[in-house]
Amino acid sequence: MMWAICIQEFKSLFKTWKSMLVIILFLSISFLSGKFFSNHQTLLMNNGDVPVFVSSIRALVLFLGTLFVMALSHDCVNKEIEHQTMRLLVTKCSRDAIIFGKFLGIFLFWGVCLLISFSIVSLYSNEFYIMELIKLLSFLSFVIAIAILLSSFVHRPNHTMFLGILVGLLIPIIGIWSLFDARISMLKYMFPYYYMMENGLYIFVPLLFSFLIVLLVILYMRGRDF
Amino acid sequence: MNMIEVHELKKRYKDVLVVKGVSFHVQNGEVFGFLGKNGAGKTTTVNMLTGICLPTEGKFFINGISHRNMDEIKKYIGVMPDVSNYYLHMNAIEHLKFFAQLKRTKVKKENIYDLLEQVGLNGHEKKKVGHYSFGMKKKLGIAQALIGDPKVIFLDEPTSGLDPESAFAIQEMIKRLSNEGLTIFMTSHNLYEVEKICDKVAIMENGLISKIGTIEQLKKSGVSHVEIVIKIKGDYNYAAQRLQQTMSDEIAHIYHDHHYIYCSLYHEDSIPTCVRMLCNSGINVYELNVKERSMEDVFFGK
Repeated sequence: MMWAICIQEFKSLFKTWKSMLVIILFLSISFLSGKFFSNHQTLLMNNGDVPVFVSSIRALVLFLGTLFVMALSHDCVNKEIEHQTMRLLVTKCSRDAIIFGKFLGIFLFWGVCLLISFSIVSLYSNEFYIMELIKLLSFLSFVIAIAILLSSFVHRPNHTMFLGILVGLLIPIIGIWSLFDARISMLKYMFPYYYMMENGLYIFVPLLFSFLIVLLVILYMRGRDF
Repeated sequence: MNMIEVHELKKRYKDVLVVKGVSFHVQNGEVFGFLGKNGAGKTTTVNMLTGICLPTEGKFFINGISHRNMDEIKKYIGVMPDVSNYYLHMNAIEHLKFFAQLKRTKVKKENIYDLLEQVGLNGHEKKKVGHYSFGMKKKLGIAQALIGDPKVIFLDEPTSGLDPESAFAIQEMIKRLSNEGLTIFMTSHNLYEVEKICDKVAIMENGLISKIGTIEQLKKSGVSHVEIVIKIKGDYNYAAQRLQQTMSDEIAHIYHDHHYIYCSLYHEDSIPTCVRMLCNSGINVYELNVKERSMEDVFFGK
């Protein structure tokens, strides 16, 4: 049941012009950065912790990823309610399966996008940056969960479109600001940016957050009428 | 065996108690009609039984499974909600395949085509649902309710908005499915349709069931008189007066126009006496009809 919803969500994400733009953007950035860094080998020396070949993809995800996810999936749940397709879904499968399926479908979409981008880069770098890919997926899982939360608690897609843009801008602003400003440094633990700078098991903390958010959404949806 | 058992089911929306405690049961293989005016609470009751909304109080069992285990119940039910929509970019086949996957059922392509033919959607299988008319969406609604071999199907106004030919086809289909052993729970505003296809009927008023029983039981309930209509050749005024004079203890009410005598008898045993009396008075009876109580009379409490 969950897989049917997942596949349906995954496929539907490929059918909008917005998603096409996002895919084209990611592929272009991957090609260009791969080409650029392979032509400018000297820049590769100054890489710090982040592999330079994927630094542009990383920057794209960390700064604009929230906005992209919100743009594509702000209405993933409330659209089903507004279009009344939810009334058919809830008579056939559990509400838990619907939410988990939606989450996995969106996650799969971004997983495929990033996998293709990293594969393109690896053609130039001759190296596949698996840890960096996992980190970014962990980051995106947090953002996807926020999109699902927003779409479940706010009933109108028009409202989530506006709120999605706002949240898509606020998450990176507050998340990154909290890393550098001592006055709001406590907030850094609530956003995935802090964990992106760490290594080891820390990189899975955003993933854990996302599961907790999805559980909250499931608890809410279990008590809702459609 | 009871396929559906409902005990004191209630639903409250904010301060309004929409369903005030309904109890009934539907036997296996029965076609159960659920009637009521708009706002009576019948759709809310169906929505609770199908998992679209949650009961505030009470309990129900479907196929012996408690409402607390709604996800298990969903395996055995097919639902056509009153208001629903479809994925406009998908065609009928894609919809039915998707819904089958949701119910973890494997369906063959030919079965899907069969189902679509049964509901009258043959020739439109590959058309995007976005281009479907209201009636076609209704038909798809019935087809998707039948996916996954359910034991009971809930149809909320299955023929409303359909042309007479399609409505007739759906009614025939419901009767056939019932004969095959499927339990059908349907709501309708069409009293003729209910009378034609339902085995048992419940009438809901202001959140409560006011009447419940088989069609025959409901028609007989609350009836104290037998209404007869008599056609004669001759003086209607004289005939009516004769009846009233000679059978005053047996006639509750009598009146006539230029075509018929309308007579309300206390008991049906008085009908032969009535005919005999008219004949003995030299009045030729050309026609006598016992007026049966219709579902309309039952519904409006006439």
